[in-house]
Amino acid sequence: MIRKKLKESRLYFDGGMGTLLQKSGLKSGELPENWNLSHPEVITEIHLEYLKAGTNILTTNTFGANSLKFENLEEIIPAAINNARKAISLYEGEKDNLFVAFDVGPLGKMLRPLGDVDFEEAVSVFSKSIRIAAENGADLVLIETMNDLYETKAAVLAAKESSNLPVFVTNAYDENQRLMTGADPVAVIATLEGLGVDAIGVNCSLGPQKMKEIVKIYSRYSSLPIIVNPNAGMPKSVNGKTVFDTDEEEFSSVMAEIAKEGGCILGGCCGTTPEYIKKTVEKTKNIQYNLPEEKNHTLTSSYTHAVEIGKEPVLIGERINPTGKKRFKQALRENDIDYIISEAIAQQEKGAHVLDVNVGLPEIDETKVMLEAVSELQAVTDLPLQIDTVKAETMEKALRIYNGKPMINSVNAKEESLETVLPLAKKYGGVLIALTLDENGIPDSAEGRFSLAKKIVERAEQYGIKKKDIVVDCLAMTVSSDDNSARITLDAIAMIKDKLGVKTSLGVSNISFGLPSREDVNAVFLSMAFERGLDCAIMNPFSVPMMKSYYCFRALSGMDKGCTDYINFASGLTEEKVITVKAAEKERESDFSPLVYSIIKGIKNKAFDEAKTLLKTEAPLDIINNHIVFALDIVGEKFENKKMFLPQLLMSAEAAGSAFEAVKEAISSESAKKDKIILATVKGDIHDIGKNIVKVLLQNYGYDVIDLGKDVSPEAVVEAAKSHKAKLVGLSALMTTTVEAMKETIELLKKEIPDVVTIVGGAVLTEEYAEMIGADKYAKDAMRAVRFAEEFFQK
Amino acid sequence: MSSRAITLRFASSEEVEISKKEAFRYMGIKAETLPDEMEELFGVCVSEFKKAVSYKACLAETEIRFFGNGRLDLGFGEIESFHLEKNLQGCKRAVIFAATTSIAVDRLINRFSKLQPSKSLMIDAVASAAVEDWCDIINSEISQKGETKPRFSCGYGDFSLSHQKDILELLDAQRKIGITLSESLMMLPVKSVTAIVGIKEEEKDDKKKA
Repeated sequence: MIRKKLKESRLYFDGGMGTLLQKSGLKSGELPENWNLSHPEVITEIHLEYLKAGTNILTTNTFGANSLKFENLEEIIPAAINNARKAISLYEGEKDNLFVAFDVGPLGKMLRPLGDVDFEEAVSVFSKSIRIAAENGADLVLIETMNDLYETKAAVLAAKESSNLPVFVTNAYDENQRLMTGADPVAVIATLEGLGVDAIGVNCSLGPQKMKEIVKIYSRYSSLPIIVNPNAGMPKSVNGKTVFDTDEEEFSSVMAEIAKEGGCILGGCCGTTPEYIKKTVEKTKNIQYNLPEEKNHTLTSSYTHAVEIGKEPVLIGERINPTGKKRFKQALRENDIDYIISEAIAQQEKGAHVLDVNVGLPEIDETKVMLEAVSELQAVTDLPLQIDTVKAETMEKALRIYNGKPMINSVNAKEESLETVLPLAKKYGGVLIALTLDENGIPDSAEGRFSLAKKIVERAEQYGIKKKDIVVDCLAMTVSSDDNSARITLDAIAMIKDKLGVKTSLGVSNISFGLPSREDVNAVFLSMAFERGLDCAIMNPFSVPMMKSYYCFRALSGMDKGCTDYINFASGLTEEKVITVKAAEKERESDFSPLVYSIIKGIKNKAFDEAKTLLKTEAPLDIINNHIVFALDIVGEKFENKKMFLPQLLMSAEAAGSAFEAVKEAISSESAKKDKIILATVKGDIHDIGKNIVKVLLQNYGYDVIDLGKDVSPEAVVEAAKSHKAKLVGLSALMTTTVEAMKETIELLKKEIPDVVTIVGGAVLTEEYAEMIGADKYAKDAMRAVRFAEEFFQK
Repeated sequence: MSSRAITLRFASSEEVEISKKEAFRYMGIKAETLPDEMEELFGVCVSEFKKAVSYKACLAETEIRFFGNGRLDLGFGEIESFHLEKNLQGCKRAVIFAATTSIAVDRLINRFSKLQPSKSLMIDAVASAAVEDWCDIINSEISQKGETKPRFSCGYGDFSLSHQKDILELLDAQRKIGITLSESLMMLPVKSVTAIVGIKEEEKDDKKKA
């Protein structure tokens, strides 16, 4: 119903509720939602006032009506909807265009990984309320004032899964045109369009003037109707009362400008009253109404920003993938997520725009590792991710928890693939990589690949997936086994771009398989592909020849103003050498071996290089004992004697860590059998800097640290200690409120594994406190923890 | 939802001068200067922090009602705290505020927490110093209303941490500046502060009258 009305004419929301309730006697601290039951006539009267002012869509008085705050939702929500319905029945004007929107506000909690509320928990809390609203006759769901993209996604999924109602979403931006958790408007638009909502827009926090600028961005990128519900300007305190600085005249004048900029559904938020809406309706009703045009931007996004495919070449880092990588496979088997994270950060630093994530290995639980990888990666990098798996279950769960609009790698023209992947892409949204292969393999002509691409695009459109969200990968086959293979791929790219009008992607390095100097071949092929219209390259950003090709292409194609990026890139190539030379000069003044020196000084890259060099002349274990541990002992002693500070100790530990990494590849994992220590930050505590410091040091002293992360339940600690047969457990707590959780964890450990030994630390702990909660040992700082571990395992 | 007037205050990265000495103190360093290799990393940390930070605050002025015996009301229900009562002695009004460096800083600290704890530690220390410096700016603006008492926060002395929830609700801080509270009463963004600043009653006027 409302979907149809929206196609015909501009609609109007209501304005603020809170201010009007306070005027009617709502006291500070009293929950407005309760008034649906205690003062239904007041709520109905406010709704009615808005209807008289010209409102079409009433929002129910249910901003905070969720199960975290209320136990009687079954009473509050139906009452709220009834109050709005009653206003409509009392209203004496035209009733055709009137709707009741079930209002959904934020939970007031931060989601993981930044906070302590699980994504699925948020989905289920929203679902509870929305289901009741749908059963009680709401016409649509309005998800509003959302200042976190992830929570917005949780609410949208909840609305989609627990009702068939149209879903409208408005987000609250700050002065910098970002949500509180960092997303810019384009990232929000991309994500919400992907999720298939009906209308999107902005509300609260800003007045209409500042909101107008954001509406312009929405107009440029959104294909959906745009909602604009500003505050009545900024709040000011006058004689102890809140006054907003924009009156109804000014408000409605700016709203008229906003209508011309593309605002389709207009209303107000904090500080606005029926008078504001009335004036807005008057000044905008004769402005021509146009729905936004269908936009053709291909957008993938993270939780902060979107990357547009099709304007400039997009680099998709391929290194998070075990194929052909011994070290990566080892990391996956050992559940070494940190290794995966370090690969991500390194690729970002080298200039990747998107990161492919593939953790498929037959002997591991791919879904579990994928979910862990996606959430850990999203905690450390703001690049959009490309979920790369052949398992439907892994794909669905990863798409679900992803914060933003991911890339999906991949679908192909096989019936089975189309039927499993397309519905997932439709439900969760994403940019789909489409491979030109089917049951008969990869066609050996450009025309053949084109027709498969066409088939996929058409099938996707049947599912409601737009062409702009498909990126075709024409597949590069090795040129050493077929002289024509590069040409076929390049022709296919040009044909698909030209005739099908979709964007393209390519895993570039396959082309050179079996040839010498592969990277040079890749680099030239990459330039050729860009010239034929390639939009995304899936590649290794560490390949200097390929990166040269990328930067040169941009500069030569007029995409790099003043060749600035190229110049920065080129000077970066020489800078690294300069640093190495400087370090080498200083080191001559030292009595220690170059490796020991770089560890003491905390020079990470150099420690790695030195360890590699030493491997040519010394046995791996000798390097560890005679250089790395030797250096760490010097550093540890200096720290204990207060001749070195904690950050220095850590810098040295990190340098030692990178030296270990260099040596690690040379030792078989058998010979490196080490004593195990479990580490965890206890339940409720989500600040884990202290634990991580201890971890780095323990690892460098050769211990196998099983890091359970932060906010870990007592049960999870016990389970890990049992399954790893670890005898030493380290626990960290930062807050007085979480020391209780530490006590519970120790109690459960002692009960379940009587001979386990616990060592505790953290800002609020003391020797006495530690003893009181039953810990075996208190470590004042990270070095004490190391010393205790040494003592413990020597016994 | 509160009927009290809430005002917002933002500051640019340049407006807040970060006390290096305090940042060093948070890192456990008593020296005035850093060794070369640390100085460089510290510079990087400060500049990355400045890029990420977004200073926000919201404030509300409130009347204080004293009931004696450590009991008082600041607008979010009757509370008990002898220490707060003492702190606010001689005041009839107070400003309650919440200030934050925003969630991008949490992300920055988390980003390095596993891979490069030295950097994480330094940024954490810089952020701790910065949020206090930000509070000092707000504090000095409050003191234009009259002579003020030292700012007092939940968790000081016998002023229970559980009132954090009341204060954030009174200030509508989730909606206004994005501060939320975890189950364990930790504020998120982590580098956030709430405080009560008592404003002393002007004695001059009384004396004049006398």
